[in-house]
Amino acid sequence: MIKNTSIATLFLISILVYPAGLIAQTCGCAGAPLLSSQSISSAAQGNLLLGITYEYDNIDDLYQGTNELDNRSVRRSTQSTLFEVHYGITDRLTASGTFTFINKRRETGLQTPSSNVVRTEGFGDGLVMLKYVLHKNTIRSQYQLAVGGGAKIPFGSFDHTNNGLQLNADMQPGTGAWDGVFWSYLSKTFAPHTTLNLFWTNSFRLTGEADRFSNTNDSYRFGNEIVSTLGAGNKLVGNLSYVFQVQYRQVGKNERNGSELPNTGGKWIDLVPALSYQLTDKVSMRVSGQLPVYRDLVGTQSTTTYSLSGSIFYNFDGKTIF
Amino acid sequence: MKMNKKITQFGLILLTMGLALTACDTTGSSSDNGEWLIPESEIRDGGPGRDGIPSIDDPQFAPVEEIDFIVGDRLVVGVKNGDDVKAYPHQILDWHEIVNDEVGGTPFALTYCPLTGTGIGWHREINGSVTEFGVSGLLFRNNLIPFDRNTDSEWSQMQLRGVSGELSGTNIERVDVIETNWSTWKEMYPDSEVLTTETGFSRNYQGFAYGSSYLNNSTTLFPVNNEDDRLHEKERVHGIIANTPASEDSDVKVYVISRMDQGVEVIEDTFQGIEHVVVGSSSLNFAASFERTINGTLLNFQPVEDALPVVMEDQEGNRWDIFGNAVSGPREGQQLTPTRSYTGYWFAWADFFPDLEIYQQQDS
Repeated sequence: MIKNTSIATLFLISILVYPAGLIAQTCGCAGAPLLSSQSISSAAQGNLLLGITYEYDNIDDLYQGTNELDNRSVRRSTQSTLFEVHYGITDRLTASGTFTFINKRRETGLQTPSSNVVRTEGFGDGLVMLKYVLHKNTIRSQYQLAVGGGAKIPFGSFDHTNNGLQLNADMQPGTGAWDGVFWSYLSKTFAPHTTLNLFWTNSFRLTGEADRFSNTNDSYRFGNEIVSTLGAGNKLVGNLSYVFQVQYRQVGKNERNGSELPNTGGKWIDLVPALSYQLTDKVSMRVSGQLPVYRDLVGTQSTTTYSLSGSIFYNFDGKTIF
Repeated sequence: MKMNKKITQFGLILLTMGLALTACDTTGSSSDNGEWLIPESEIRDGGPGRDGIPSIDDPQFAPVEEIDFIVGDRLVVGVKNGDDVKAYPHQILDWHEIVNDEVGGTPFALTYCPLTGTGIGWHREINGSVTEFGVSGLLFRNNLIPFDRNTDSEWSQMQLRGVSGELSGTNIERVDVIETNWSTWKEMYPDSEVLTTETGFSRNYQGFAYGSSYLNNSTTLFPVNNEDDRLHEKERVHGIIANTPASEDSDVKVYVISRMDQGVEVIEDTFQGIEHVVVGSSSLNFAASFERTINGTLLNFQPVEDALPVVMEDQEGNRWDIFGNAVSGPREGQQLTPTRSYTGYWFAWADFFPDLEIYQQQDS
């Protein structure tokens, strides 16, 4: 019984681990928050986990370097729906697939009597990963170390138009590019004294290039991205758990035809609090938010004001991950 | 056995999701059949969206002596109508691109594209009604596409005409402007008014919207169709467009500002049968051009040094300022006819007008 409770708590905490923001790829917020969907570090052998996450990113702030500017002209938001599948191939090897549906909204001309709204929606890019547990968490050696790698697949559309004209990359649901994704996860538990779980995740996205326009050689590449997250999670009461994370994110400059673009790239530090509730042995839900506490952007860019997300997970075997 | 079943299950889920992704129509925004006078395939969404770059519609001015935010070698665009003389710093224009204003009682818009380096004054009275211009967020060959708020028509800044919408095909009437550096402007017009940073928006007015390196490097943000390596991409040239409308077929001749004398240089030239004079200076960093014939008389010009804003004189003894106004002499009060011209980066001129001619010293 104690063991089952511990497992359930660890499950809750593990799905709260919400590693990489990739909320908005700076102002150029094309694509989905794919890395952030990697909420499962590993699944037990033969276990199948499904998850669906809805995320809302409010992108109202305007920054120049570390200074916030008065932004009266533009309001943006991105809504993402992510479908996750995780399957434990062996005790140590987990396959993960994430697929997305993206809705973007850009309202401009807020300073004028009539603003202009452009919306796009469509399937975004997908992410497939293999994760391998190098060290399993045991009662005698209470830490887990996992690494992973995969590819972001350009399922997403990136040729949406407005009045017949192709929209900028940051309004496209997809990026059109293949990216390489590398991931690591380290956690530490302290059973039986406490159900506290400390963890550290790191992600790196090596971006590829996309030809955005079929009639010209106009290639576009989003900047590489590093995300590092430190977090702590624990049981609150009953089936309710929390996780609190501090996330550092650094994005390189976007490039067009090999030349770096101004007003792209930057560094962010965000706080990411989350709550999770185990509804049944198999079903859990999670809500989380993301609040920026430090931003240092290259040039002048719109950036995320806050993010909110909610998830539901279904664990077919009603047991384990780790 | 159980594991094989799970693997099959996992694979089926992945396959179903993949098929769903490839099967669904992901069109999420509309398109219309708006016709453009410019190739639609070369129009780009720059990213900010319509009015995402806010034009300045209630500009505030201060006298030159009160202005302390402009660096001496940074450029300003100046306009003069009667006694009303105003300057618009690139430092502000970089972030707003359009200022809806009046000069000497004439409603005009200063349009400026930081990507092509073109600052052009536009009359705001079109077909009898005064309009405001805004930034559409679209670009044609890297160049600003303004829209007018009365009809929502789109315009090409460098082609000086409406290119889509109700006013498509309408040629814009220019207001003559001068682009020069702040030091020169202050010397020329110390009593002028200067656009202030009280724009209603907070922006980095000490900085550059596209980075300081954009002014001198060979990078463009969007593809260039007609590359021409006769000059460096960002060489500033003063171009004269001989025909209306300004299109790819127009006859164009450009004058390279950095090749002009350090002092004031006057170039008398003929292009497409029109005698004109180009006056400029590499160190003072300006160029302007006018037709040489006034009231049927062909004038011969000589440069005037150290008398800014007076830059040339003619055989009749008239002295002319940089806006082509006779400030003394028998023609005092008269004005030379400005050519259809403006100043901008070479790559943009070459992209818009592929067969353009570059003035060589032996031409005159």
